[in-house]
Amino acid sequence: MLDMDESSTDGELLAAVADGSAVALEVLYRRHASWLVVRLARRCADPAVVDEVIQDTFVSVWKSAGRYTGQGDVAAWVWAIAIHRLVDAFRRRPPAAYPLDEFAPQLTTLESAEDRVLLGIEHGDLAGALGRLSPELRTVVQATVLDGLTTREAARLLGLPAGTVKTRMMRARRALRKELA
Amino acid sequence: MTNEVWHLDGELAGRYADGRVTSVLATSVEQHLLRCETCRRLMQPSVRTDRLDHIWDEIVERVEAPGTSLLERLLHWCGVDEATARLVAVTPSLRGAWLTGTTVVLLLAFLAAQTAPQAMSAFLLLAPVLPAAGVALSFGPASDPAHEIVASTPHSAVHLLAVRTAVVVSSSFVPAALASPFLPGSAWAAMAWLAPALAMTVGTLALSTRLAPHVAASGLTILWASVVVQGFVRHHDPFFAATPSVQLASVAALVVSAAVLLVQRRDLAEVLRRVS
Repeated sequence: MLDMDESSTDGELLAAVADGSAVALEVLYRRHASWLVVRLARRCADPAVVDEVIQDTFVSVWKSAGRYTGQGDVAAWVWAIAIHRLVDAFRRRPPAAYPLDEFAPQLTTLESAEDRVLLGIEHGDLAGALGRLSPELRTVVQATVLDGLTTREAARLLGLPAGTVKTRMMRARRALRKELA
Repeated sequence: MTNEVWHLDGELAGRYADGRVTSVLATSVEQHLLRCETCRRLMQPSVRTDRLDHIWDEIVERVEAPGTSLLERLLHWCGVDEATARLVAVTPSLRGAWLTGTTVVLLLAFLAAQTAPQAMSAFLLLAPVLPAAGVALSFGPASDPAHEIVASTPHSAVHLLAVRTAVVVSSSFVPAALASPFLPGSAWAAMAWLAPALAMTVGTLALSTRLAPHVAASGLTILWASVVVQGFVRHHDPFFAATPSVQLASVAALVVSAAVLLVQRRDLAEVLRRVS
């Protein structure tokens, strides 16, 4: 087994994890845990649950590293695991509230010109169109399109009935289509 | 998507980490983070090292957990899924010490009954008590090293309860049933422990919707012991448990307990989640 260290790529680390290298898992953990914690914290207000989800995520990485196909970024692969473990955690303990949009009211004051430039480059018109969606519709789009969850999983994450998620997604799609047409 | 032309600066990284950006901007940041290792590294100061160390310790513990046991593989082979098999295998009352204890106690009562028919009351007293105690033990938070795993299992607590109970109960029913044909008295009398044992086990579960499982089991044990001892002392009958009145009462208790359990199963799941 090759020595795994800070200079190894994520793909190499994951391959080593698949071969049972705990050292590689730790390097991968140290590299990715921080941003995962931050990103999960935007979707779950309880730090204890976030910590638990991070644990579940890396235990899953340990067990299923061999299933990584080499397609796409390792970061995206790990995130997909993490968001599904979060949905699992919410299945066990439904969340009190979904904190994603607590900053929505300050949208206009916070969106500086610089922000808009950044957004324009990242997403073009989509960002603007997303921003003009109502917060309820936007959280649904974020959970389904950007976090890649199914309707049912998004419903669990958002603490909504699946039917509501479906109708909101339909309304959001209609609104976005009109905006981007 | 074009090549990366923008990156997060320290200020934006900090604002994102603190949750002080609009959700639209956060979406941009998140999409970017998936593809940019440099910017992911900017998140590192936002999470305390001791928190990360603590999470890592827990991961190591879970990753290094012992491999699958014989019982686990056996259950898996019987069609029980992996996660459930693991949770059943770590049931406290299925560990070696408890199993050995159950078997030895039953064996002693069996041998005693062979030599002196009076000792049948000991066998009939113990055979129903052991499975009930085993079931109560499987869900005590203090006695379950796996209670965190149990509390966090994606399976419903009721599902787990059913599988664990089935395995625990069969672990003491099987030796008792094997011993029965060789016991003194009629075949009917030798199987007299069965109805009380079922009643005690289901009764323990039904009472656990209101009481702690070990309290429920202790209460029923005292009740059953007083029935058997009373029969032996007052009626000098080591087979008192086999009399129709006791058997009928046991069946009645079993039916009532099963009904309570059926109605209250959600409560039970809640109780179990709380104790574990």
